[in-house]
Amino acid sequence: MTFTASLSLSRGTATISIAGELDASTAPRFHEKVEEAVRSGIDRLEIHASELTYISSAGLRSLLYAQQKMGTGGVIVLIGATGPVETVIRTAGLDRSIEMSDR
Amino acid sequence: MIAGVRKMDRIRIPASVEHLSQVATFITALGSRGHLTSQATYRLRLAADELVTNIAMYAATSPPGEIVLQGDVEDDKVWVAVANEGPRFDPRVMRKDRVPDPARTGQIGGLGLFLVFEAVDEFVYEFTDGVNRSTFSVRRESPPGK
Repeated sequence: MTFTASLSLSRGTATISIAGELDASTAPRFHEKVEEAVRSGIDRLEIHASELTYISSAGLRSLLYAQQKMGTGGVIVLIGATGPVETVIRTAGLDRSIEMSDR
Repeated sequence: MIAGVRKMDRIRIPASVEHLSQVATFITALGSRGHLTSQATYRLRLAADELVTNIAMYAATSPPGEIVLQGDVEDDKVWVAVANEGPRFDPRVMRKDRVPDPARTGQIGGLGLFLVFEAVDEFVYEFTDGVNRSTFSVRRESPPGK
């Protein structure tokens, strides 16, 4: 199962780029990056997902974790999610609290 | 094997999330055989993934038990069955009638099984002789010439 996640931090904003397939076997790698980002005290988390080809509830849990840890003052933006990946995120209702952006 | 009867697709995997790639391969091949759209294959895969993950996470034994996946293509649908030995667990108890709001409620449990029921067109559960068996399907578009 191919999955990559990279993290960069800059002035209160964390950017995580994810690609490949995010399921229960690969989700720990994503969760690690999310935890590291949240620990650094960010107020904005951008997740670039244009190269994500698959997501299951395991990946959604990490997004929910970030949302809970960052609290109401934090902003999470999911960028570039398309097709079935976007559909899963919206079906789970995550688009109510996470901003979805094309770019 | 009886002549003229094709053997359905079947795999047996340990009940561990480390084997989800085998589930993906199995479903992709089945979807291809059934000429499913990529979206329909995704839905079938997601359902299988979530059920297998649920078994691996919540019916865990040491060493891990096994999960059997079977599937086949019919005129109007592609179906998959996920079976495991263990205590009775009916996934339909987690079925919800409205879109969850996990970010607001903090209720994450059950999200995977919720997605199963959103993904599939049919779902049947049976518990027989100590085996849980969930059978689900997605509809096929009419194949060319049929």
